[in-house]
Amino acid sequence: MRSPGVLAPRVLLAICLLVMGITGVYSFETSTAHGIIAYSGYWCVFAAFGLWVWSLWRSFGQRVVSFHPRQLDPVLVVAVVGGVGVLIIHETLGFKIIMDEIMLSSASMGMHYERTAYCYFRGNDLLGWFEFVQGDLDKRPLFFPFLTSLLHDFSGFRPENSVYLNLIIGTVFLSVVAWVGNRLAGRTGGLLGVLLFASLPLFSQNMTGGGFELLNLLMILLTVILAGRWLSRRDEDSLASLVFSGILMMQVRYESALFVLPVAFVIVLVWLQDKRLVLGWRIGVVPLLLIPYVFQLRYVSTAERSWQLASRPAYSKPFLLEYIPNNLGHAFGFFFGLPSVQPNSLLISVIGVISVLFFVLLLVRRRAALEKGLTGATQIFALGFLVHFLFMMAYFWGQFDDPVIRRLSLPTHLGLVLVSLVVLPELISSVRIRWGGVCAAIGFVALITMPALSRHQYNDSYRPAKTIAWRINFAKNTPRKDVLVIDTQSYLWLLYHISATPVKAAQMKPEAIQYHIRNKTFADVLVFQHIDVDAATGKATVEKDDELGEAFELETLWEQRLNEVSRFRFSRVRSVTVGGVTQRAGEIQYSVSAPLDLPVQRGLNGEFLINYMRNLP
Amino acid sequence: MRAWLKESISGFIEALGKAHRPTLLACVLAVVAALWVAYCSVDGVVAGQLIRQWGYWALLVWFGAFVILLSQVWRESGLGVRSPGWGGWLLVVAASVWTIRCDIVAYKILNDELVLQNTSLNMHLTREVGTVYKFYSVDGELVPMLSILDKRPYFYAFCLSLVHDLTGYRPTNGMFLNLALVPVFFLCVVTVARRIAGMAAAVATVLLLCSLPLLSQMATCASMEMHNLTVLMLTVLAAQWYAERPGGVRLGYLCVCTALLSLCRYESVAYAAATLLVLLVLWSRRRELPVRWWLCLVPFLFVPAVWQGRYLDASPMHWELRAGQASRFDVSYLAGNLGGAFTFFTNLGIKQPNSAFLSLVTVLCIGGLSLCLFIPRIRRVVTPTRAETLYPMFPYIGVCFGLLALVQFYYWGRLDDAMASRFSLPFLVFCALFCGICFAMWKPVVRWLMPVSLALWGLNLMAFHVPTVANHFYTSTTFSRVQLDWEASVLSMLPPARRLVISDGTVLGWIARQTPAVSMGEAHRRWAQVKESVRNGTFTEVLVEDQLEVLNAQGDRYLSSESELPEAVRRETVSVKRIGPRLHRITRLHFTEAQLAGVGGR
Repeated sequence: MRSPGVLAPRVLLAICLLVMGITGVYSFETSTAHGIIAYSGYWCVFAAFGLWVWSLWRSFGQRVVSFHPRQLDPVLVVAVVGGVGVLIIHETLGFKIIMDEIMLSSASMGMHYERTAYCYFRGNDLLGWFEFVQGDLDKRPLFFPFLTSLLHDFSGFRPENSVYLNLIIGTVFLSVVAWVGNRLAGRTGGLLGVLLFASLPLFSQNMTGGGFELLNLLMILLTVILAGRWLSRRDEDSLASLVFSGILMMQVRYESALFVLPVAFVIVLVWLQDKRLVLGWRIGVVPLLLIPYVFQLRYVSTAERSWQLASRPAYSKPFLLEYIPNNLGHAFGFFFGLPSVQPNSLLISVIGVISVLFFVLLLVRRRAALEKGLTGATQIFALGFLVHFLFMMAYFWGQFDDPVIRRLSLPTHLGLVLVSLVVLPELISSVRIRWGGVCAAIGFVALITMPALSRHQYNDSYRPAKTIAWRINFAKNTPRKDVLVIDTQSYLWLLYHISATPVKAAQMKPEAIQYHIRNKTFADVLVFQHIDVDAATGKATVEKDDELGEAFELETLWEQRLNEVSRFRFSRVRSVTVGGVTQRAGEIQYSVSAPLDLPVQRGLNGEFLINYMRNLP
Repeated sequence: MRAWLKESISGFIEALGKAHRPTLLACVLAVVAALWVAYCSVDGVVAGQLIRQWGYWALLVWFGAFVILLSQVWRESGLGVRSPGWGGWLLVVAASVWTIRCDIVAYKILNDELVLQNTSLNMHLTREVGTVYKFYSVDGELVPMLSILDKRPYFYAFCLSLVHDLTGYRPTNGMFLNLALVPVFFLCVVTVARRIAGMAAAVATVLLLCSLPLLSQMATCASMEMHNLTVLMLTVLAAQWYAERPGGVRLGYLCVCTALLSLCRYESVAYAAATLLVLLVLWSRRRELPVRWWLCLVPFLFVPAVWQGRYLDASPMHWELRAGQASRFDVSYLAGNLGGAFTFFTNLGIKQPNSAFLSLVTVLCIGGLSLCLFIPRIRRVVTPTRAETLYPMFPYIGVCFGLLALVQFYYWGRLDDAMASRFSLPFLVFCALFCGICFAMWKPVVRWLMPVSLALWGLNLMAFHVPTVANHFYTSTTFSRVQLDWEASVLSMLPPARRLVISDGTVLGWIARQTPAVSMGEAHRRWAQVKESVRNGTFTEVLVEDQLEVLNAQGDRYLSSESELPEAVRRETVSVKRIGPRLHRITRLHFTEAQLAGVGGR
């Protein structure tokens, strides 16, 4: 007869698994699941994060309390500070990857203001208070927006908070890399780990942007460390730390769910080795916390646009083995391309590939005998890195040399660095040679990486980022925030609390725009459009998605060339014609009469406001 | 209770018997004289004139006495920077930063802040207590031309004028003063709670206050609420100090604090009764009446507050009654106000700056206290507090509760109204103190109390407080703030000019920014002078601010005939903004030669 203390967590886990299975797979329609993710997503991530922090505290609290700064290795501290300096000094802080960062920031805004996971695309200044009118669920997982929303909660809302968060995450990541390197290969290992990442412009690009890539890297690395601790300690707190780390890692990027395979492998391996099932009530509630995630997976798999197949009409399926040869060629082109063209690190590519070969040899020589601790965890996670790489190669848009896709190679870079650090002590035992390697790495960073970082030519060729930057600059600096902007990417304006609506909404309700122009509800109605230029004839046409229709007469305020075939245009709506009636902007018509009685006036005000809200575009 | 009362009365009689007779007689005569001066010597209008002329100087003396006595108490008690301890300072700094961060620093309360700002401007320039409604720059010097004594007590405006004196005039000084008062307030709260029930009580009180959006709203505006709270806490602390170790200096300090408190808000004069009760009880328990000759001056300290109250009673235009309302206090307002209070204290949404968590915890603490009072076994178990520091707080709590009850009979007393919710602030602060003390009493007994309380507080913070303060709906929807921001942004974009603004709304915002402005009515009366000042170059630009009202649901507009200019002048639109249902418009006037001919010297 087992004691209740042992049995209870198992029963709890079984019940929660059952609940998750029923609710996640059978019970709800996609539309209902949509609402459940939106309203419970924040709280489930909050609970998982809280339980993770608590488990970490129980695991490492004693060490944290007894920590003294003298325990830090000053050489590694200098290396981390220097590495952070190199990585941030030449890049501008701001959004870099078109939609991702905007959507993540938008989701964090929804979490901050409303505790929902919605990304808002319609919002208006309602009587002085900015209200988000309509939002949609994004395909991106929720952990990064959650952390950004925490930063909003404690420092006030700023769209750029995700960028500041990445600065913090990047610094923490480099510190953890230094610690891991030190553990695996001594001080030179720590130094080499930091230098390898400092030689990677892609890392710099993401550290100064607002995307979730660095958090993804950090969570993978922390999960590797916690897996190592579970391999050595094998207690309830180590397991809870590992499990919640894995859960949160899954909720950073979609494909990071692949790393759950090594996590599960490590857990089951220890259970089998010890012939003992370590659990706990914290593990018991895990399935419940994963319900929104399961719903989100269903939502992503059902929404066609979520795999972005529409952006490349030549492809019909998101994943196929046939894509691998072509994508491997692109990957080779990225990893071994010129540093001025690709934000890669030849240092990581060369050392990494050599290390992978030796790593395989080592495994074969030791007949895959698993070591304990961090080294053992790295051996197991190497499998995860390999699966991840192959998964990316089988993705229809898995070309690593594509400006939008480059960042997906970051986990592969982490895998290469970790393998290098594992192999280093086996390959080079001489301290002098190791220090020589460190000096060579410093030389590489100074002579190859820093000039590439200064030029950031790899950024300049990226057209969509320029239109985003222009709009953000306008939104930040305009003295009148009480305008309405019609833009396909209305999310962006809402981040700066400027009323915005998508082009489609304006197309469908031109009479609403006419109403607001007549009533001077907004200081101006502005339109942002992308223009395609025929290189042969020079003829400019508004992109189909940005076409407003005949009802609108626009006056161009600003037009800018991006390259030979594309421009963007920012215009003011001069007039809107509906049913033969034209309303021109700027005209205020009024009569003069004796003031009405206050109750009558209040009644009229109320009727007007109701009508006004009905007519919000 | 009866025995306690009997003992107190007999103690007081015994104390009277032991007191120095001539000084006691002088004190009684001083009270009678002060009452005569306050209520019988002059009528309300004259009282107002006296306050206008002499109010600043009287308050300067009161304030000087406060500073001197505080320094003496400080020295006598051996207080220093290290007194709150590093934990106390950390708590004060963290709470202040959090409170200030939870709202935007801006004008928020309709009219109040601008009136106080302009009163302080007048005190700064002329040492006269009155709100400036018209002023011009004469030979480069700003000269107030018209000022009217306002109904609002003027200690806050006085402090603000001191800030202007020391740092130069700025329209934002009111907010900076309130921001500076936040740490002082928290330091007082921490000290009061700590002296009663230890650091646990201080931490619990501060955490509860940190989850109160109303406190953040008031801490970041230019209103007198934060100032009132700070002086109230200083007075409670003074009462604690005196109760712990009675002495002449401490007594004087308590009296001056109470006198200053009476000039912080209209109703704060009632706390004088609390101070009197603290003193009477203490003297009767100690069976001695420490009469001093200077105590004869104390009753006169409250004369300005009474005079200002009488001035308000004599000036119905200041009552701001709505149509159909005949008096400020009436039983007929009670039902609506109670409904508003219930909505305010229990609201879980983001539209009220309340803390339902604080309300709930207060109810639970009342339950816990009842258990202590009625079940002796429990009373023996809970940790006792320090009686000599706890009891002086009761009269202030009683008066505060009484004032909140009185507000329920007030015509503008619905606490769920954005303009009236601030009336509940002192009550909520006392609730937090009460809960903090209860927490400290129960903490050693109930082992799970601390982790559970912390977890619930954290959950409340994340689920209710942060979304509420992030949206700050209650601040965003005050149209006066939007209008002031818009006026300021328009002004900042215009080139420098000698500018006159004619407004059909309030001119206080323009005057606070030191831009000469007159109301539309005044412009009608003195239209010839307006044109003459344009002709002779006194003003190179005349702006008109008016509002187009809604005529129907479709948004047709009309301009009130009262807002029309006396003659047709060509207008150029400078800026238009919709604020709520209204369209606010600023236009520039272009007079023709013919229009300017025939005025002034021509």
